[in-house]
Amino acid sequence: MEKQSRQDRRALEKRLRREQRARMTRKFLHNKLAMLGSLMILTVVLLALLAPVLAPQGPLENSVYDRLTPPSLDGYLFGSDNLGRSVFARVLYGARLSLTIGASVGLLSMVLGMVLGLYASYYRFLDNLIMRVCDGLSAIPSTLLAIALMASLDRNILNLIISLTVVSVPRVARVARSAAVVVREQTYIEAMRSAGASSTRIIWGHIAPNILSPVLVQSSYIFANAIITEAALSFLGVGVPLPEPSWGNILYEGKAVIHKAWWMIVYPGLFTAVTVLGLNIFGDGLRDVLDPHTN
Amino acid sequence: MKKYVLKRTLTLIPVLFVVSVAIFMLVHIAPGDPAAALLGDRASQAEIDALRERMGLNDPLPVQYVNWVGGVLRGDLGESVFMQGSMTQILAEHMGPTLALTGWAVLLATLFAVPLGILAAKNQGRLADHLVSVTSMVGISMPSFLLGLLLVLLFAVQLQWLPAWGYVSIREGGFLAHLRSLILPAIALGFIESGLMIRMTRSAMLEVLQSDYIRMCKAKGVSPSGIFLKHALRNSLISILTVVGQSFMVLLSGATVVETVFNIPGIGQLTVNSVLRRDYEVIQAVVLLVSVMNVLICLVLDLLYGLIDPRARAGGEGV
Amino acid sequence: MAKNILEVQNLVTRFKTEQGLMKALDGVSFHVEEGELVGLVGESGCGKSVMSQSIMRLYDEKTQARYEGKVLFNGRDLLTLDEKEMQRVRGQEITMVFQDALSALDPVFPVGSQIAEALRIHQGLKGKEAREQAEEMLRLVGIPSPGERMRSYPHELSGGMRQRVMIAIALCCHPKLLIADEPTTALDVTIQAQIMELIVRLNKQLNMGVLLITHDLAVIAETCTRVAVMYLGQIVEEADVKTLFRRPAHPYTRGLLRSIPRLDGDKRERLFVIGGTVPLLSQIPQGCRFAPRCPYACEDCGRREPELLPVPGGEKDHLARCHKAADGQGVS
Repeated sequence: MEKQSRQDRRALEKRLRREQRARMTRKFLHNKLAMLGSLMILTVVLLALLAPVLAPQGPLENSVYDRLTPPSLDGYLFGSDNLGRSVFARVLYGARLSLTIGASVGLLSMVLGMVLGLYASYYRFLDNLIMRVCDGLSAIPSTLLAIALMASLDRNILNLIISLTVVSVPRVARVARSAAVVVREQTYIEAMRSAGASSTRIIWGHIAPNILSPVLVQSSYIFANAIITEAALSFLGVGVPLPEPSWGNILYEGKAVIHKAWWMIVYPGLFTAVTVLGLNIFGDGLRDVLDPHTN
Repeated sequence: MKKYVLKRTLTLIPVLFVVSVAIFMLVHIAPGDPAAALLGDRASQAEIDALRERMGLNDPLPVQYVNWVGGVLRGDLGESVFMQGSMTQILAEHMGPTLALTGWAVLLATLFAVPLGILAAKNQGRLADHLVSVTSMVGISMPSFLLGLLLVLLFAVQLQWLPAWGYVSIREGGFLAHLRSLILPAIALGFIESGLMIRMTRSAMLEVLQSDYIRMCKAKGVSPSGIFLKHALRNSLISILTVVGQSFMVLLSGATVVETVFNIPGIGQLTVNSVLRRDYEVIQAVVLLVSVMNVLICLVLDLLYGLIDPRARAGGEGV
Repeated sequence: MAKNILEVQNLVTRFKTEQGLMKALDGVSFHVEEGELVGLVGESGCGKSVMSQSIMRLYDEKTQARYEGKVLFNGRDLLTLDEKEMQRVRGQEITMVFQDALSALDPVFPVGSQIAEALRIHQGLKGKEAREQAEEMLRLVGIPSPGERMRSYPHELSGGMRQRVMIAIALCCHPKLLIADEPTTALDVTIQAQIMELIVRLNKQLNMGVLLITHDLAVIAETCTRVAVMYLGQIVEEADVKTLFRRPAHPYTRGLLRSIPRLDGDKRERLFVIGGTVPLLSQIPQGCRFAPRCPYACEDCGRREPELLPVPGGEKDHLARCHKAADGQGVS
């Protein structure tokens, strides 16, 4: 009897351990999504940082004799473009620019969207104003609005970042507001308010930290989207001014010689797709990890 | 229902106001004199002054805004400095190819995405589901113009099956030539949106399939196909319809970029050319037109929503 | 002796989860006689609803669950039927009333068409006939001006009305067995009584077997002839109503009974609460499943799983799953 029970208990413990392991694996797998995404982004970031080392030739240096040479291991790794510049160098330096623009837009939109969303959720009179403006701005298709803004502004990188941010802020603001409204309704916020805590302290000390995760997730999608839109704008010839390399710019130049130089399309395209995919996967993983319901 | 329509229609006013102000301001955020920028360096001061006068740039901003909106409401969308004909004519000419491209893209995306989304929902957690979610992830992450370029590389440059660019309208070259000219751009454009459509269809379908009323239908003895075709589809139709409707707008503005890849003379190309020439009034007109279309489509979708789902109607009437 | 309309033998239902198969029902056996009203009680999470849905095989066998054992309906084992045959059983021979009518009725169809749908499927009625019959059913379950109500959507009706509609759907094809899964939990007290009255009346009128699933012992005492008590996917006690209420044999049943507030009882006595909560399915205790919460548990209870056996010295057909079961007085 005694022995039987000990065996049973051991079997039970073993089963519980197995279940625990299964749970851990599952959570690890969720994290793995975020890990895979980060790995993809980190690879691109690393390549961008190491650009001067990996591509000593530089993105603007050209040699007229080497126009449109196909990729080879001992010559131009990614081939050369119509002006005889190294596509490899242009893609890596382009990564610096595209990532900088994307990250700036993501960060700026996050901060501005959070401010707007927080204050909209806290003050009723601001709520209507801010949210109606956001509704109006989102009614204009974002790519078109960004293009139109670039038409009015001088074509430089700062203005590009501003245009892309204007387009993205309403999306973050809406996410921030709906999360903040939920937090605001909670009893402890009500209690603090009646205890006389200042609005600023409540908003930034207590509501803001609680809406950080949905805003962060949204911002990673904005980051990805900004890279796509920047590439699109540059591809249309209204984004990053030439000859500065960005992925969109290289594709723009590649389109003219698409019949002769596939490498001017495939390599910058690959980098764009991998980066955006990485950011989106990262965003999904982040959402799963931060969401308490998916444990 | 009447009340619902009225209430929903009134919500358009603030949205359209913000849209109009934003579009109006496009001209005025430009540093320097828009008239001078428009005419370029070689214009004489007299020419610039004349243009300023015609564009009404000498009035105070609010007056300019009221004049502009008044003109728009009367159907006066301004003039192009570079193109002949009235603005309406210019827009109508360029809208044709864009609408054709968007229509094909929406059709392809829907035919591709909705069945896949349903398939994934019905096989939740199994291999088919995972494959579909990978597909949708790739779709979401692939810029449409990039996919367009890759398609050109493969089908036009390498295989030479299809033309790399150009647009043939049905009237000019018949249906087949029209389709041949639009198939690659439509795929490039549609695939992007299908990623999102798959996700939305899947989650809408999952929500319905796990509901009590579907279990009730099963307990009533309704066959699986009956459950699916009559109850599940009708209930998820609202969400699917919303996604398809919204995708029309996303794709209409996405067409801007894809048109450039395939040299399709639509509003996208019109916009880009106008941006490069700083032909402000054309840009304003295009953005305004597309935004108003967007707002109206959202309205129609919401009204349809009320038609399909009796609960939405009730909510609108404040029950 | 009346014929058994439903006889469940050793029914096991396993759910497919990410951690593997999870046993939600573990060897359940019981029966319902023709025209009999049988109650099934237990706390939430003990497998009552799983049981009702397993009898009708509502869980998808490809993705959700796996069944073992026998579910004999009129002598035919439902678990061996193919999907087509099962569809003919569902909604015609066995029907079901769910707890929450608002979520169990399809929101986008008028209620009349939802009743007519069942009639069309099982009785082959066409448009007008089906509608007339559906209207007749609405009248039968006591809905005023049924003609108008036919065109109402579920959200336009009150909770009691919706529940009546569900009962109309369940009864329109004259089933031999009705499974009512907490049919009154979501309703107000007065409406509850009306709905229960309706079920009892129809049970007598149509000579239809009813399996009433509830956590409300008062409802059982008023309506049922026999009761089964479930705990963690097993039946722990079964008896006719009088025996169960007067001389409960299982400590769990006793706990349930003592947690009903009484007006006539000693006022100083506080309302009894069974200690602890129902464990998760993944953490089913060894030995007797109720032992961790049982005030009478001894060492043996934690080791050896008791079987469902006749209570020593008890009434005929009084079964309990307890080592210490005895006729009433034994351990109280």
